[in-house]
Amino acid sequence: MKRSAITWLALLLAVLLAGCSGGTETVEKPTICVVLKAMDSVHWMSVQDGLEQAAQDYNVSVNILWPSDENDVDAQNTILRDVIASRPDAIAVSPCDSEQVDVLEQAEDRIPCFYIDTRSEQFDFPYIGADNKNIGRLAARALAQEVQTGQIAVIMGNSRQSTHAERLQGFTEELKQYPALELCAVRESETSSYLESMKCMEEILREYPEVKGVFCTSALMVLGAMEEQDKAGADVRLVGVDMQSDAMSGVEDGRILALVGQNGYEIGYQTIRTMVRYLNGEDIEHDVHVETPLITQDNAAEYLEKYLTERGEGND
Amino acid sequence: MKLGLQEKIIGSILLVSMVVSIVLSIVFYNNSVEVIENNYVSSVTDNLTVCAGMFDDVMKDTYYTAVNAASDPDIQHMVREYDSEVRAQLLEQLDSYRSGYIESVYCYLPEKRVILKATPSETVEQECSETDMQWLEDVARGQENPLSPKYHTDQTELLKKQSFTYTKPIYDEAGESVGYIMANADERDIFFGCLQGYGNFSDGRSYIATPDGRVASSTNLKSLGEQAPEAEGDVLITTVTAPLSRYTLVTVSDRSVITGHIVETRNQIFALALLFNLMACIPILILVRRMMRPVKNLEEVMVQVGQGDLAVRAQIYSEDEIGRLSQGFNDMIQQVEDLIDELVTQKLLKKEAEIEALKYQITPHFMYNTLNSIKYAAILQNSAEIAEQLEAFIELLQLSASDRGAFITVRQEIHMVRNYVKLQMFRYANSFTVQFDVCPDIEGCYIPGLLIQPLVENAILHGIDLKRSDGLITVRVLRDENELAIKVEDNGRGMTAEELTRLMNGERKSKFSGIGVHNVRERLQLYYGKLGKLAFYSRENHGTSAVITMPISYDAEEYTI
Repeated sequence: MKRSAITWLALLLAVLLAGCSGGTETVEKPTICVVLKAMDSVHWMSVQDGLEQAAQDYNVSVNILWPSDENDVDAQNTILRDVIASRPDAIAVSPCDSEQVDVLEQAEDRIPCFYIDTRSEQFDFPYIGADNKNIGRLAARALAQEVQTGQIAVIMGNSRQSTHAERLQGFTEELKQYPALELCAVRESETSSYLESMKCMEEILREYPEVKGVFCTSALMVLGAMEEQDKAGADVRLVGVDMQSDAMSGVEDGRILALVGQNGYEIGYQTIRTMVRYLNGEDIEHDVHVETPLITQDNAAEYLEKYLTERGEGND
Repeated sequence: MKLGLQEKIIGSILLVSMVVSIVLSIVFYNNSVEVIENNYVSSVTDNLTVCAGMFDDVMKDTYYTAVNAASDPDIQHMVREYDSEVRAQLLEQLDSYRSGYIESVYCYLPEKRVILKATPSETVEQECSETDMQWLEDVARGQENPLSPKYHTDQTELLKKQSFTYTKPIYDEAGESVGYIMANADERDIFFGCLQGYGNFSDGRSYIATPDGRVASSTNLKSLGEQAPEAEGDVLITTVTAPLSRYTLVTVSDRSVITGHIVETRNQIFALALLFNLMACIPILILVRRMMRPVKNLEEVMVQVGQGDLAVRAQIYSEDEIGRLSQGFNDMIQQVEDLIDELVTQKLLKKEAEIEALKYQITPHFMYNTLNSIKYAAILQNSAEIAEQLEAFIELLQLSASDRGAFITVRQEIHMVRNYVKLQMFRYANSFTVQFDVCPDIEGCYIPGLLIQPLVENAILHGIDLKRSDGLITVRVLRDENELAIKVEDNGRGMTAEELTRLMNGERKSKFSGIGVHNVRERLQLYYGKLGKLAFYSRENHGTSAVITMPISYDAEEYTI
């Protein structure tokens, strides 16, 4: 009786002492590589922000790489090749040149690939981003409402990037609904840059002094166009794409007619979310479109405030 | 070792409380250690994650440098068309790619057997030796994971230094690689930039390890490039892998440093538990003493009772088990005392009765001899009657003085009664007759001696009328199943109620008949208890009858006390 009680006590102590154990194990997180076009605008920084936030939320590790600028197709392909060689669990790519993504062939079967923000027709991978044709349509409608009749011009980014091409496509399709509006010129900016946009705007204003409205396929370009217009003292309605604070401020004080919002953060976030769902074996939609709200003077302040508070940009 | 109940109770209490304290402190210790280690690991992990992020950023820059330099059209052109004229320009171009952590940018041209180096100290073209070539070819081959830098000792420098290198080839029009761009980040820069100050904690040592487990960056310069040492002793190893470069940041921490103070606390708890338990001994002792008081009292009383003192009683303190035990003990002692009292009284009474009987035993042989002499003298003088009288008297004396025990047979008793009657008849000149009626089968029964004689004597002296000659005394011994009945009847004047009472209480009238009716009664009660009875029945002028009833016994010892 007494002996058995002591045995039990000893056992109890042994069990308690056995509770100590050493060592920490690290769980291998899935690795996702994202190759973007550049990191030279607020849009891409928002995308990166969304990617990183989602990576944290879904507990994956994400490597985000990009070439020095949107037109460095070779560098992007080199990076893509290296990314594929590093054998991540999934790849998301935003092609600089939607027609030169041959390198993805190496990944096609082994690594699941996704398009983020910009797609390519070369491979049929799921796409996460804005519905760019719809952006074009929304821009056309916004312009048509303000400018009932007259000449309309477009300053588009590099047409090798499907985003710009699709936006233009949607825009021209929608514009056919408004016979009073004439699409007089489509200028392409090789680098989708601010300076080049200014140059295009200058040409348009020179060649078509009667132009009533201009659609720029990115925020950076609409800002360039805006500056050129201010410089020339012209009165042209400008419509741009992307949500970014400087452009929204322009809408707020009436210098830009409207912006078709494209939430970079949301694109980034949804990309990781979709990829994680895919990696977990869930069914995903082939195209995941993010919201594209139309920002006009009426609601610009609201969007700007929301944008600043959500991104914490105002606090930095 | 014999322990008292008190010691056992105290021991058990202390044992249990010690075990409880030890178990509690162990549980507390384990939980605390777990929490502290988890907190420590998570803070170290956070720190290392920051370091890994910085390390990856630097590696990303280095990688971009290699990628950008390799896809720089000017560099591509100059590499393809390399000769001494473009050397300075190419070096300058290479140098422009150095920034931040990218300490040097090399351009290796295998066909020309030269390496162009843009370093902080110089921009130079260097001829390659065979060993240099071998090493450079190895570097140029790159890594299996192109996003992970190659870690190596720079063979082309005089001073041995460790670098993280990304290599990108430059192709000619035919797609053949004609040169390699190598972007190098220096280990010391990385160490001070990413690890020192962030990764080194007061109680841990951190280092960066390559994906194949070599030390890439550490305080200990001698360990660089060597296989990471196996953990020694009780250490906590935290690792974070940088997601891009796949390098691992490791912190090795001494467990004893992290959880040392908890071990101290645990030991303090042990010591305190011991101390408190020892201190608790005093109140426990007092309490147990108090609880044990009734038991001790009971024990003492038992000892006293054991020594023969039946008057003591255990004190009853409470209504609990011990109280009931004491009460039971007291009741038992009371019972024993009562029983002993009864026994002692009986013994005393019997002794008294025997002494009383002995008083009347005229024993000495002298008396028999004298009487025998007289008897023979009477025979010589032809006085046969006197001789006969003497004979009876002697026998009577001999029987009453006999030491054959208190019990005699009915036959002996009757014989004695006959002798006695003979003498009395002589004395009272045959003025009465005595008839005997004894069942022959009960003549061998044992009865206490001198049981019938006193009754006969009583009948002669107080029953019959000696002045008349028609006195008749009948002695009957009968059997009724297991009972013996002795009946002594006379036809005398009878007795009054007062006389009967006096007779029963033993008031004597005659000195010789001293044994007396009272004695008969007492002896009956002594020997047979309630089974032995003596009763008198009498009526004025119709005589008296005395009746003894008692159990039949054929064994002399059966009722002997």
